[in-house]
Amino acid sequence: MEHKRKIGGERLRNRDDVLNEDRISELPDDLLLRILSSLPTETVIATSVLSKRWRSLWKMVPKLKFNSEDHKSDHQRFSEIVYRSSLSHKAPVLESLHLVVRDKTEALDVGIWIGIAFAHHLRELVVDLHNQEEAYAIFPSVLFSCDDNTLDSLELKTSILLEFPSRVCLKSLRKLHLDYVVFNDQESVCNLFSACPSLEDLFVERKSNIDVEIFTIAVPSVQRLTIVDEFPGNGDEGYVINAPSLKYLNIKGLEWVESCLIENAPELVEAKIIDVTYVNNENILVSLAGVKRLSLHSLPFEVKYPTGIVFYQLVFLELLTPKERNILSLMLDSCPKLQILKLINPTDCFATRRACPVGWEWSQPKCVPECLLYHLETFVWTKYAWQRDDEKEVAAYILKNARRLKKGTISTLAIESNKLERLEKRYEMLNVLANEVRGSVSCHVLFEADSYSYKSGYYVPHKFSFTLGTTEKE
Amino acid sequence: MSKSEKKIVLKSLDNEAFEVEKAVALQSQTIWVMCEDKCVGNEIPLENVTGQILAKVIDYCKKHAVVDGDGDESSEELKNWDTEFTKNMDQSTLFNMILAANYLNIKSLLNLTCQAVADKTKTIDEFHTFLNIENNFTPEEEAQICQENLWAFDD
Repeated sequence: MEHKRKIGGERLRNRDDVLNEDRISELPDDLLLRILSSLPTETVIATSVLSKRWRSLWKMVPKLKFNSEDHKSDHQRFSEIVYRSSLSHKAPVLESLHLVVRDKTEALDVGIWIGIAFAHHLRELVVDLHNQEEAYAIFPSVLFSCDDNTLDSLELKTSILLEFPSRVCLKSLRKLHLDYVVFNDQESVCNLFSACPSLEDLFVERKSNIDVEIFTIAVPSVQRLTIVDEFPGNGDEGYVINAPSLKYLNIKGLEWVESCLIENAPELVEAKIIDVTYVNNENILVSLAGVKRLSLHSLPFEVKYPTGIVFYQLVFLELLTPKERNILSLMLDSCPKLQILKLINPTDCFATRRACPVGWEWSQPKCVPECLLYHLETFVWTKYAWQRDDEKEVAAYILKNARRLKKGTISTLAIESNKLERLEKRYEMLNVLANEVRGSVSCHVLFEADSYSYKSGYYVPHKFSFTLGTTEKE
Repeated sequence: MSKSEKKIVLKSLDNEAFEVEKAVALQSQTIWVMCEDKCVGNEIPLENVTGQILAKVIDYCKKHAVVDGDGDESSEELKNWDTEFTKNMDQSTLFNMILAANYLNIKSLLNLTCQAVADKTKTIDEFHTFLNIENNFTPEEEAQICQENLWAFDD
C-alpha cells in the first residue's frame, strides 16, 4: 500500500482540466468538518494523508463513528483504534459518539470509550451491541452516576442489559431511544426514568414478554412517547403510562397484552394507535377522549369497543378504513366537533380481502351525526376502491349529509403513466357519485390520482387533480 | 402562511432574475433576514450565487416548500428526490452548492450537499479521484503520516 496514495496526485498534475480541479479543499474548515462529520471515523483519519490542508482536520471533527463491522485493518484491533482516536481527539465539544460493536469481548471496553467521550462533553451517544450469539452485555450504568454528564440524546440498541440498582443522573437528557434493550428488573426501569427530569422524547421498542411484566413509564416531563411492541405477549404483560406533560402518543403493536393504562395525560393533543389488537381493556380509547387529533390504524377493539365515550375536542380523525365499517358510524356519532375526516384503505391484499365480520357492516346512523351537520369541512378518502358498492354507500352518505363540507377529496390507487386511459373511467364513476349527493352549499369535490412516468433515468411522480363538482349557492 | 401568493425576485451574480413565491425563498434564512430587515423591495440581489447554481437552489426550495396540510406522507418521496438531486452533480457543482447553501443559510440543503460529498468519498482513493485533491506531501512526510496512522490506510 505504501505508494498507492501518490498515484492520484501524480495523475492530477498531468491533467489540465480546470473543471476538475480540486475546489473542495478551498472550503473553510467548518464546511470541511461538516463533510467529514458524516463519514466513519476510520475514513476521516485516513484523510490526513490527502494533503497538507487535510493533515490535522480529522482531530477537530466533532462526531466519532466506529463500527466494528467495517473494520478491516490487520495492523491493529478495532478497540485499539477506538482508544487511539478518542484520545487524540481535539474538538472542544464532542457532538456525538456512535458505537457499533459486534464482538462480545470488545463490547467490554465500551464503558471506557464512553467515559473518554464524556470528558469531551459528549452530547449524543448511540450504542449498538447486537451480536450473533445474542449475548447480553451489561451497560456500565456507573457512567450515569455522576451528575456532570452533558448527554442530550441517548440511543441504546439490542443485546444490552440495563441494570440500575441505585439512582442515576441524566439531567440534560432530552431524547431517549431504547431499542430492544432488556431491563434487569422493575427497579432499573424506575431508576432510569426518574433520572431524566428533562426528558421530552421517549421511544421504546421491546418485547413485552422478555423482561419486566408491567412496564411503567412515569416521566413527568415527557411530551412525545412512542411504544412499539410487535411480538405477541403471553397475556399477563402490560403498560402503565404516567406522563402528565404528554402531548403526542404513538402506540404500535401491543398484541395480546393484558393492559395498557394511560393513567394521567391531561395535555394529550395527538394520538396514533397502530395495529393494536386484543388489549384486554378499554382504557386506551377512554384515556384518549380529550385529544384533538386521532389516528386509528387498527380496529382491534373488536369486542371491547367502548360505545359510551365522546371525543369532545376531536377535530381530526384518521381511520384505516376498517372492514368493520360500523365503527365509522360509531366514531361519527362520538366526535361532535369533527372537522377533518380521513379514511385510508389498507394497501395489503390480505386486509382488503378479509371479509367483514357478520354484524359489523356499515349501518347508517339513525340520525345524522352532529359533526356532519355543523363541523365537518374536509373529507379525504385515499386509495378509495371505486368499484365497490359498500364504499360507494359510505362515501355517498358523508358527501350527502355533511352540510358544511368545503372540500372532499377522493383518490384511488396510483396509475402507471402508460395506462392513463384508466383515469377516465374512474373519473366518470366518481363524478356520478359526487353529483348525485352533495348536501353542502359551498363545496369542491376533487378526484386526485397519482401516476408515475419514467424520464431521463428516473421516475417522476405526477399528480392529477380533477374537480368533480362545485356548488356555490345560497 | 396565508394564500396570498406573494412573489419576490431573486437576482443572481450574473444578473439572472428568478421570480419565486415568497414561501419558497424564505427557506433561506439569509433572504428571510433581508426581507425582515430593510425594505429591499421585491428584488433581492444575491451577490455570491451564479444563475446556474441559483436555479438549482430554487428547484430544491420549491420541492421543500411546506405545502399546507400534512407533510409526513411524502417524506419518503422527498428523500428519494433529494438523492436524485445530488446524484449526478460533479464536484465543482457540489462545491458551489455547498457555498450557496452556506451563504443563503439553508441548513437542510447544506446538510444534503455535504452528505453528498461524503457519499462520493467513502475511501481515500475516491477522495483523490472525485475531489482531485493534490497530494503536496514530500514522500518522507507521507511515509511518516502513514506510519502514525497505519491502521487507517488498510483496504
